[in-house]
Amino acid sequence: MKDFFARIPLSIGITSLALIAFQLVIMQILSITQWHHFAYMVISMAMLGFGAAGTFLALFREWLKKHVVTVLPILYVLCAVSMAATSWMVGIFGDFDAFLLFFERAQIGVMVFSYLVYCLPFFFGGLAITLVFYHQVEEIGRLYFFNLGGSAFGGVAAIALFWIIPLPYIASLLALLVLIAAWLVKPPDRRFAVVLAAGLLLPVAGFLYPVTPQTSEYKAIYASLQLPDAEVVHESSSPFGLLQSVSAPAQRFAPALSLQYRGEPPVRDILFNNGEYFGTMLGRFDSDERHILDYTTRGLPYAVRNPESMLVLKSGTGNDISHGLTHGLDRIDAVEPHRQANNLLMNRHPEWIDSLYHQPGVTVHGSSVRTWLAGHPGPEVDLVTLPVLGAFGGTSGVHALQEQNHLTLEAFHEIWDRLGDTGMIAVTVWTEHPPRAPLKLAATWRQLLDDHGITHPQEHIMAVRSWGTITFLLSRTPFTGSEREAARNFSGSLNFDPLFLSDIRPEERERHNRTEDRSFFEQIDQLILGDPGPLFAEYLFDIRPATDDRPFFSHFMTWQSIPELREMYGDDQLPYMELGFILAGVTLIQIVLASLILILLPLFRVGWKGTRRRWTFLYFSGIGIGFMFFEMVLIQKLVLYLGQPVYATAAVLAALLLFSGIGSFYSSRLDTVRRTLLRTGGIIVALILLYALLLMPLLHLSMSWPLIAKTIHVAVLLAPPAFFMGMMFPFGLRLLSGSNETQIPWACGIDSCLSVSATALATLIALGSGFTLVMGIAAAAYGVTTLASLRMGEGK
Amino acid sequence: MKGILLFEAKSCVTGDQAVYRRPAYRTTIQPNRDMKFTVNHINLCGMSSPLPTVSPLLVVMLLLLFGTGTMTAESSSDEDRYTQQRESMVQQQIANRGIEDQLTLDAMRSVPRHLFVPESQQRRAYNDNPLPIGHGQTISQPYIVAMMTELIEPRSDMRVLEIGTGSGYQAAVLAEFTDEVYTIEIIGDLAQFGENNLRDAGYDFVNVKHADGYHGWEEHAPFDAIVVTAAADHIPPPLVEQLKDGGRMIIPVGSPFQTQNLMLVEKDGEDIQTRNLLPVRFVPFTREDD
Repeated sequence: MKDFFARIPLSIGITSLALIAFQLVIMQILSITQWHHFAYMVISMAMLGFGAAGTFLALFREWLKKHVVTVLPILYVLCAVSMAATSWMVGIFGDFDAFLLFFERAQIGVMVFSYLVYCLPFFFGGLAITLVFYHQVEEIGRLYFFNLGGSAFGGVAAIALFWIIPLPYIASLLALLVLIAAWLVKPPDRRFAVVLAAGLLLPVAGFLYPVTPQTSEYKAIYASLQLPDAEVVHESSSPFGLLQSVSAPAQRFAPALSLQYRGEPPVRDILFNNGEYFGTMLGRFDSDERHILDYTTRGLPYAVRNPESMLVLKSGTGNDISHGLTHGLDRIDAVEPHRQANNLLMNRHPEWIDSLYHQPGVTVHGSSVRTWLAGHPGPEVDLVTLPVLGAFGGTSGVHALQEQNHLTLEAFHEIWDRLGDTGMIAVTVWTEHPPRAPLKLAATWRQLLDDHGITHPQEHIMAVRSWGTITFLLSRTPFTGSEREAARNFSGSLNFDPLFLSDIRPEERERHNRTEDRSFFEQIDQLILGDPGPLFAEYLFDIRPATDDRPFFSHFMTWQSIPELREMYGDDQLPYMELGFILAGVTLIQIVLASLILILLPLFRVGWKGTRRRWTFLYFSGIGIGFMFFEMVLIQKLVLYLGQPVYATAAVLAALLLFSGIGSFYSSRLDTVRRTLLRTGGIIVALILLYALLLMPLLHLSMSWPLIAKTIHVAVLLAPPAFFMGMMFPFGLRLLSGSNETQIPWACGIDSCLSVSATALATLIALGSGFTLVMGIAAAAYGVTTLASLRMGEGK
Repeated sequence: MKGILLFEAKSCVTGDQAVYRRPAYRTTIQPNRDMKFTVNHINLCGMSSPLPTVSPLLVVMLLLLFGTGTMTAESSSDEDRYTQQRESMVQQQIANRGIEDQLTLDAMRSVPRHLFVPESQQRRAYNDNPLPIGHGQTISQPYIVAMMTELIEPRSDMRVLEIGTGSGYQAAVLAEFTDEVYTIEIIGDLAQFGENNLRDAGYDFVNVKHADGYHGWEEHAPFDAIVVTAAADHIPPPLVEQLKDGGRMIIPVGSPFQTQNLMLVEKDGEDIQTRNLLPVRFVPFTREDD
């Protein structure tokens, strides 16, 4: 028995590691089969399994506590079994296709079933951990350390596993880990060996018969694979996603090709990441042939000037590099954060793009755009290109929740500073209705020029549109008359129309490509020539420039505009205008409703009156919200700082959790008196507010440091707040154990539910008001916790 | 065995103005020991009735006839329902939105859209939205189909090419006013699905080809109109070549579940113009100042 209790902390650590890694695995699987924000929605609901565990424990605490020796290992086994079974179970009632969610009501039922399936491992694992917390609350500091420490390593472990093991096998491997935890705390009863053996069946079956994730029919790769003789010629998995190369004789590259083109567009393989289009592997063109992109609006910069050097940001599969080489550029720097793709095209299969990356003068950097710009002051360039915005046919707003740090006002300032005297920035946008991205881009550039004190912005901007795309150019120096004439000639020869020139005549705008939405021209003019303010206020979509505080360039919908948009487009179509935003709201509503039930249900058991439950609720809610809000802001800022989103997220999470765990461990040495809680809470609030003010300036100062130095810097920055934050939860449970022990499971459930709710809430707040407000709310939440600590646990 | 026979009264109002046509009573049939069915009448209008005894054979025959009649009634009532829905669709979703061309309206009225969707979607076939038909494809919203049809300015002597057969519905609509409809589908299963739908709905004269629509259908070019229903990020040059001088090409732009723009391509010799049309009545995207 002594052994049993001695091994519990280790079993908690292992289970926590497995659960967090499992969360990332599901996220990856759902990102492949569905879209990122659907993955986020399902994961958020699944994580409520922790909250449900608290509720369950609150309802049956005496029985569970009494039988902890038997129940604990069984819970671990159930956790392992449900983990291994998710990939089979989730498809029982047919495949969930998130794209049809707002069309086929039956998908709602399938989705809810998916929630339940994914929820089970978190429920059983959470119940095991919470049961231990309840049973051994006097050891809570140490136990919480193992919980947080295990979670910290879980994130890192998942990243490593994504490299080493194919995705379909990872859940089974994690299930085996949890079975080890079960074995560690096995009861003396020999019958448990049978239970353990039975639990082994599913993970083993998972290794023998892995279930490969099936992509939604509405993802880009599916359409490619429907083409005759299409085949996947390469597939590799990594933390960056599932990269697949599809080859098909009918797969032609000709985005928004001019109607004057009479040749045969090249047939090329396409690279997909998580089923979404990543890039066409165009390769090189002969020097005596015109590049295919010269027959699209993307040829505009070369028609207007003769750049000699180029910076390609988010270069994808190198098409802009190919374009630049055809025009004889001497020096091309390309920045692409997807290292796996870079490695594939540079080292493993350079022949796929005709060794483009090995051409003289071409350098590819595997980093995020902002980190590279900050860390490489470098020589000035003549042309900077960014990836094409939007997609043909729209993207159904699937990028609305994505942070696009390369499209913020601050990013364009940094790019502007890299331009030579005759330098230009070129951005191409797919035509869309209603117009959003082109207007937001124009607004951003106008703001940029205003910030630089340029009084005639119209001299520095030009744009040309075709039936499918619009290419905008921003120049450091005003465009000359001959350059504007060159743009006109370019347009005329290819059936394009100038959209904006400083001396544009109205009849020029629709010579070849007419539109019924002429207000678009007026809006562009107002943004560049007039006062953008009234348009920002009147327009039904948010077209204000994205900033580092609100880096969601593809987010346009506002809550206020929804009623009018519903009237125009109907309920069926509205969600697809900006699916990410709608889903964030839907996720929050689901989580709040479920959390309410989970939080209120135990009160039927423990009673509604007395025992100052509201203070318990406030205390642990504050922790749940405060920690998660702080975590999300830090991830956003530090990912920008460190550069590599995938590794940076894992590193930041690991550091936060580890230092919190250390704080939790240290809290055992402190007396749980209200003075201590007040002091700790006060320090946390002060630190959060300090970070809200000083974090970005501090990071900016060290932006150009080497990665190792930056990583150490991040660890040093994270340690103090995380350390103190890690103390509050064990403090609270110890306080309750002294007076209201029955509330302990309920408190655990509150913390879990509010943590999950906070994730969804933070996203929506950041979308609308920015991360600074999220940080402020985090401080306020810990303030509430601190004040609640004065009354929590008093009396009966 | 228990069963219910319900005879509806047209009217059951007492008084001077009552028009009493048929009694309203609920009938239960209950087995008795002699396997004779006793029919009890419960007159819902408060009128009593005798309790006749009916021969079992007669009852079985009546039930069979009733059952068959019910099935037939159900089939014809389904057809009636679809016809009503189709008429309602034409009025509310199409005519009310400004589609005026009579050939188009008649075609939309005639083509049984419900035969071009998977069975699971049939009850929603006439809704005002696209529907999934598998393979990541959709059958377009009825209004879009009507608008695309009207935009090609349908005539009986037209030769029309469709790229992207899909469900076959658009091809069927085109086939309502012209015999020369050529449709190409690159996805094999969909080509078969579309062809089957066309044949079953009586449009077996439509020419269906399973091929890469990029190259058009050169043997039957030039075409008075080309309808591209499959989204592509470019307009294939061969299609432009195969469009007659003065011909029109229609392409929807936008995700299937979003509001789609229609793009009209008009060829006039060497000059080619595009026009981006809005499928819904255009409303400026500004709001009143507060």
